[in-house]
Amino acid sequence: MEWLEKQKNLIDFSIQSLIRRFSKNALILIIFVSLVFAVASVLFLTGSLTSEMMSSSEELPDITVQRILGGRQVNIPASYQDRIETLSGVDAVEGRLWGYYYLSELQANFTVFGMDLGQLEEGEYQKIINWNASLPKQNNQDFRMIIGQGVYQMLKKLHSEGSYLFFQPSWDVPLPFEVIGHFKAETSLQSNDLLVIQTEGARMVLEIPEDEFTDMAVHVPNPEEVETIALKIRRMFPELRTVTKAQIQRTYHSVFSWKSGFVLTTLLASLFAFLILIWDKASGLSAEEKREIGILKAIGWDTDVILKVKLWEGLILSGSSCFLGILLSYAYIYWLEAPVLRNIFIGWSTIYPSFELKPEVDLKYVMLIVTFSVVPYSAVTIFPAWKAAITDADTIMRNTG
Amino acid sequence: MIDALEAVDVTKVYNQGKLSEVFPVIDVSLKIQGGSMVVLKGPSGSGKTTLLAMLGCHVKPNRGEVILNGKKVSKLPEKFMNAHKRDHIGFIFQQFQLIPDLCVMDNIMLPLLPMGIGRSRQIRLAEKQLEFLDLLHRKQFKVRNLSGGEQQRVAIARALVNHPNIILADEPTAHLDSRLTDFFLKRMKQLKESGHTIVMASHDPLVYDNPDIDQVVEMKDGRIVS
Repeated sequence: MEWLEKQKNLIDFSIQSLIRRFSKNALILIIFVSLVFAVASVLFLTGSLTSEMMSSSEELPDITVQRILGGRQVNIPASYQDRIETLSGVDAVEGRLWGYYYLSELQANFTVFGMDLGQLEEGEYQKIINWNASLPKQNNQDFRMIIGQGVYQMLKKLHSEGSYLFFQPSWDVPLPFEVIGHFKAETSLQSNDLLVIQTEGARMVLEIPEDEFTDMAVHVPNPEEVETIALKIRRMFPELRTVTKAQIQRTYHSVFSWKSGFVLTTLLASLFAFLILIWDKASGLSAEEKREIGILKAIGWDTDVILKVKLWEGLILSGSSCFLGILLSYAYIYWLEAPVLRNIFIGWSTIYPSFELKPEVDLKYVMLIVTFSVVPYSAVTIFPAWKAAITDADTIMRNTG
Repeated sequence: MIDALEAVDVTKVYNQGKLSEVFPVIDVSLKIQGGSMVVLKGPSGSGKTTLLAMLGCHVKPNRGEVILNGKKVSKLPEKFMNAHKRDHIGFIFQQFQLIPDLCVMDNIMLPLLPMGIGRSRQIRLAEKQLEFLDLLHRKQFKVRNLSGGEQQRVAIARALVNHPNIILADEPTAHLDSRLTDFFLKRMKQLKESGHTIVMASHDPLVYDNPDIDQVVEMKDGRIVS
């Protein structure tokens, strides 16, 4: 009980000391909070995006096969599909159609993906699409498409969200495509600039011949066999490049890590300023603080008690700054949806996805921030106090009184 | 009556081995009876303050011993010496050594904080001293806003708050007029009558010529001359 009262008294005194030096400590608090906020925001956003991409990448094919000629990716003949399917361990090979289409009205490139839309009209996929139920059924089932949220919003401004006229320079007349639905906002990270068109329609828009695909998706049930099968495919067709799911996941990871590293580098200036502040604090106490330590020693406080008070001061200031910084960054990332910062991290097209960031706080990041902020700050607070506290009270008071 | 406080051949050296080396106290021996009121008298630089600081366990002598209630305290590790200081000694500093941004109550309660005493008891103890020194009406004032005399009373209250049996005061009347000096000496007499041992360093005749003083020790150049 006595021990508890003593700790309570020391904490009270530490808080009182921090309040007494309000302007100095408020400045440190502001700098500390800003820095923790900036670093935590970058780390949280990176963590959240990486986790989101990792979970969505689970849907990727086990191996993606591309044909490379003259250093460029070219279409793959459909005949390769049957040959690859003969490899033992391969469950299925799916030819894919995709490319880009330039929408002149919006002055932007959009990703076009060809698939059987019937797959999206049933099962789980139904839930991620807002279906345009009001439209009458088109006669030509090939000229149908589902668009991403970003495309939908832009077409809506042009009052063209129900249908769109595609045109390629080699065509005589434009072709009308009906928008049968648009992806919901929560899928925007993957679908924002996407036009999913019925297979045959996509062939026309992308001008891909009947017997070719853009690339192929190979499904391998046993993950242990993926690398071996990829090697066999490359041996069978030396001009083919294989990209495994693991490689794509590593790429996602490194892309966000690179961006996070880039942003953190830009924070170096603030880190540097903070280090100067810490150094200033470490290099000595003010005459007033030294005198105060002398007084406390003279009235019977032990050195370790004085150090405890200083440690509490450091912990309270840095801990509350750290907590506040992390809290603000949480609010900034997950409530305010990270304005400005999200564009740095997720913009790859003319339009930026407006998806919702799911709260994903990695404890190791929190520990990292605490370790690199609270611990060094508290340590440097202790050092000058220790230097003052081991000096005779009389000497301190004579020199500073 | 027991020997409350004793210095045996104590010597203090500052800046030892340097050009600025000084010996403020040289081979001083002194016995102070418990329950007595003693004055260390002498001009500035005579070593009164340093001797008082050694008796009060603020400064360790380079040579010699300080004995407190029969225990050799000057050679003890800091933690044990501090424990003796907290339990037995109240020190009134010449410059008061108060924390100006704290209020009167908080300054007085400072010695109690590491002792694990609860807030309400701390308040009771501090108010009791303020009442004794006629300063209760200023208890919430910041020390920086008090007059010199009031600050000195706060310093006395802080020295008395943990009920020490020995009170050491360094030039306690240096900042006081004759009326406040009289008030101070009356309070010291009351404390002496209640069994406290009081040692004051002073070159104020109002102090060392006071009839309640039991012993006057005169110092010069770091030594006791009478």
